Amino acid sequence: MSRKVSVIDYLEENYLNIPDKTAVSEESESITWLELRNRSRELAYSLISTSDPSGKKVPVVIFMDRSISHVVSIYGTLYSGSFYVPVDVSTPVERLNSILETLQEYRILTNRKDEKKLLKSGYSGEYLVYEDLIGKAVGKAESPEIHAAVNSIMDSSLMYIIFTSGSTGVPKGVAVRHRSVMDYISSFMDEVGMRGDDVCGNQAPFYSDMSLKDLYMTLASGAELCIIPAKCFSFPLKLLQYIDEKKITYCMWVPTVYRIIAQFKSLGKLRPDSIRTLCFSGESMQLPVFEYWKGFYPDIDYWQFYGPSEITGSCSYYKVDNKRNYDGLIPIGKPYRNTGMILVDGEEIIPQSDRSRKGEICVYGTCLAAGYYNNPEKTEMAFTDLPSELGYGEKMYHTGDLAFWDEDGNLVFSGRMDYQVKHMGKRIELGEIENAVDSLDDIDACCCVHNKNKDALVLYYIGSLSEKDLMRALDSKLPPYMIPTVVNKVETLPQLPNGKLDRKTLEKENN
Amino acid sequence: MRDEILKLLEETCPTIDFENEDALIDDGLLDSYAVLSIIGAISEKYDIEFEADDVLPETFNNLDCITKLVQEILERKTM
Repeated sequence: MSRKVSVIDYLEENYLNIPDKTAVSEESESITWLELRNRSRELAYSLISTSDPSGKKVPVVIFMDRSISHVVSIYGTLYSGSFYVPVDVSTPVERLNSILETLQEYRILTNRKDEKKLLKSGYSGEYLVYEDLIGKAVGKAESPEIHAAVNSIMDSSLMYIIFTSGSTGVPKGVAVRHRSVMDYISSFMDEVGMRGDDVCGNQAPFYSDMSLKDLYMTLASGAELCIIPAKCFSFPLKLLQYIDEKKITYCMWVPTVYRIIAQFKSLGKLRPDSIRTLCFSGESMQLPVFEYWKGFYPDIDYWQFYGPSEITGSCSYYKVDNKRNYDGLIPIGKPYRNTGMILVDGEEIIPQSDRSRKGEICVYGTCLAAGYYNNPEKTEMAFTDLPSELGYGEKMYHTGDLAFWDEDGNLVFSGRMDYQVKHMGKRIELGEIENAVDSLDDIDACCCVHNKNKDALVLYYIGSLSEKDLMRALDSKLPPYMIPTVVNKVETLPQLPNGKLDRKTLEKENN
Repeated sequence: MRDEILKLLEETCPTIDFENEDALIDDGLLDSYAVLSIIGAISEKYDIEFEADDVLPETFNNLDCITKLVQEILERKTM
């Protein structure tokens, strides 16, 4: 087996070994590894031939919903030697503009279906249409230009940028190199694994780091990536019917989805036989939800993962012990091989023997992102020098998450250090919501807190704007998952003796 | 009851015209988050519990379907 530098090398291998096996499927369409490889190369040919004659690599912003064409666009961009930036098609134009400003140079790629959403968002710049590019390049899959572009990829080259919520209202672009994803694939396949005959039921949006598992573990194992339509996630029985129909064996979802199934006691109506492995990450799994699932599937494998986008996918893994009765939380586990995780309290590293003492999770190793794209200040704040006893001239990433070591040497998550919360499985800076509200006319003050039990974003504000108008105005400023769940117009907000907003009091009222 | 539910829906998702939209799900106006918020609001107001069979695309497609569903669940509750 020859050396692999990027995910492209896995795709070429599948093209040779399992050309006719299904690679990606949607509701009524599917594509084989041979087709995926050739179509991606054709798209790459179009991208190369329409690019800047100087040969400069500019990122390709993929403005598409989860789909086969999105997967082709990812590989097409990589085959062209460039890197991709997946964005949410429901991104309001202000946020999209902020992302584009950060990128400085870019090309936007959309498809016929999502073009309408791009225009509806208010975007008025240039863009490429997937179907047009593919149409121009039929039969060009073996062009020498593609070969040259692929040869130019180094494992230190950027592979993608994923934008996350930023506290100042400006989204941060986590820029990740090929080698971090290759490292993640090796780690995951060694410890967790996926089989060639698995069918992986995709829920994670491609603009979220969680989708790396779905996209690249299916690639590395030759399994099928089965894209579950978004509307299934509103209707638990539809989702179970889809799993049953497509014979899905492997799911890596946010706990919210597992909760929806449990909430409506759906498995009693339909229990798909095909399921073999269930994984959760993105936020803490609630024990009653897990117990509900275990009641129907006592003998399958359950895994919990942990890791922010800045460390590429996940940095720790934990195989749930089906026989054990957990009281409290399911651990987030141990770091993968070739990944370092430490708990830090101020300047001090908490030894593993010092059980139950909380510290900030810091991560180091090949998994670390290159930093926040075009944002050296934020990069410097989050990526600091690794203590020299752990490595020479290395960086470590401060996650802002708190955890402690348990008696088995596993990490147990215990909350956030700041006002960043997990809502619907997505990482949100409450400050970004508050900034959006503050930017509206007729708002005097506001505070947003997270109700963990209901997973609700609760906004309090003082101002003359009605609750209805406020919600309308926010619709164009924030993505749907950041829109407050409950809005309370109030006369006053609690204050601390120093006059600062007393956020804790509002938090207590909600938790 | 229709008006009561309309008011509740408008409070939950103020940007959607529930009076006139006929295909909330088919047209993709309600995402999973909105559907769950609506279920939460209705459950609280009427003190009812939705079951898996109640939460289907066809029962959430417009105001009339949702009203009919709530009536059915209320009837089931009193039986």
